[in-house]
Amino acid sequence: MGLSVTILTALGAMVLIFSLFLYGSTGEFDSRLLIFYLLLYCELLILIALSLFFSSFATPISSSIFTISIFFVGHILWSFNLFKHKIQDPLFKTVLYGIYYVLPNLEKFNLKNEVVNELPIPPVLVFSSLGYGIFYVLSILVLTILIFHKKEFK
Amino acid sequence: MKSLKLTSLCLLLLLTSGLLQMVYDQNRNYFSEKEIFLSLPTAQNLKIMSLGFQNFIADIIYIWAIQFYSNYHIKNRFDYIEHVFNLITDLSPLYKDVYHIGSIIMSQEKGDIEMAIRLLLKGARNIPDEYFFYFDAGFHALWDLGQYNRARELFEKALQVPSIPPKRRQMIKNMVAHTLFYANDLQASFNEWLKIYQSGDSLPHQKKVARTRLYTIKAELDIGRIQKALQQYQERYHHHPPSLRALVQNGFLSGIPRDFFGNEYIYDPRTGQVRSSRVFQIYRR
Repeated sequence: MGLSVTILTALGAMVLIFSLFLYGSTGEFDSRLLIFYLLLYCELLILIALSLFFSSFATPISSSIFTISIFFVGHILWSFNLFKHKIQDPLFKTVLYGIYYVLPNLEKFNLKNEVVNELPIPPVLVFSSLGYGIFYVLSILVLTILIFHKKEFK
Repeated sequence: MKSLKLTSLCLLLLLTSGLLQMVYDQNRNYFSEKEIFLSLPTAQNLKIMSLGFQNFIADIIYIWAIQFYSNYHIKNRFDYIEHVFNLITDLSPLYKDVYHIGSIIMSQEKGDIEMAIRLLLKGARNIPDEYFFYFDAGFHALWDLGQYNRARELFEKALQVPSIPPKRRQMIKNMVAHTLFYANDLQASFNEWLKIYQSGDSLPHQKKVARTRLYTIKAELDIGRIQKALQQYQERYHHHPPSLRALVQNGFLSGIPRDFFGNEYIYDPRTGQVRSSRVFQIYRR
């Protein structure tokens, strides 16, 4: 909770400064930027939850490496869709599906191109991404609690 | 009991997020035809940002480029292809594969032969002891552009590279002779093939090829000369000469030429046509 508020404060300050700078140079403010920042915050929350999760059983350095790795994997996870059409073996396909749904899909929170190039942002994608982010964070937090809970009995 | 509850809750939440992922996937077609936007810094800036690891950055961009240019659903994927490969080769100028693969993508996928040649010649400048760049560029000039003189010049530059393997050197010599043939410079092509035929370095199969080429080119040159003399005879006497000897006797030819194997050309006095005893077909563009 503390981490998420800290990140929110830092991100809020950056949004404010950037918006003022943008308003000063262009004279207008694009509300779509807020959607972008909202989704970016959601992505950061997932990363915080994952770093907490890894910290519950790994050393601090390992935890950082795992979180950074997940960050990269999360941004190319969409390419798993390529396999869906190419893989024939049902067992391998099931495993792939499992990995696809368990790992976080962070690329969906990336709306930079859409905002910068003024492309449409369908609301269903924004809401499904937000919902996904919230439920994913909660699931990871519950998993972390579960690990801590087990540790207490040792 | 508490663990079971927490596990169930975790699975339930993960399942819900999975369902939302499915909703997202259903509303987003990842592989429909689309345009995308590329933002790549210049090589100069990337060199600074890489903190000395510019070869590593070049590696990453190269791997990305191979994957990116294999995405057929991206309509505008070739927009910045030259910038991308120039960027990689500026970061890592001795990276041979990039010139090779980049030129293949440019020529075969994008269909821009000049661009592919530009990249290969950049490779030749950066790695002067690699013959392959000139050879490949010459091949594009010959087969894709039909620019024979340019192709010959590029092949000759490839031959000037000292580290070229002997077998490849012989092959490129063949290409030079071929290129001259395609450029219709038959005499020069004949001379090149003769050098290959007479060279002690040539392999047996190369000599065999050179022999047939020499036969064909000599026949083409000789028959051209004979046909010209026959035409002059016809214009003066209004009939075909009874034999090729008559052309020599009347001063239209200095002597009767023989083919590369030493045989006489076959002349038909009824039609006034002359041909060689053997026919070797050379593929003509």
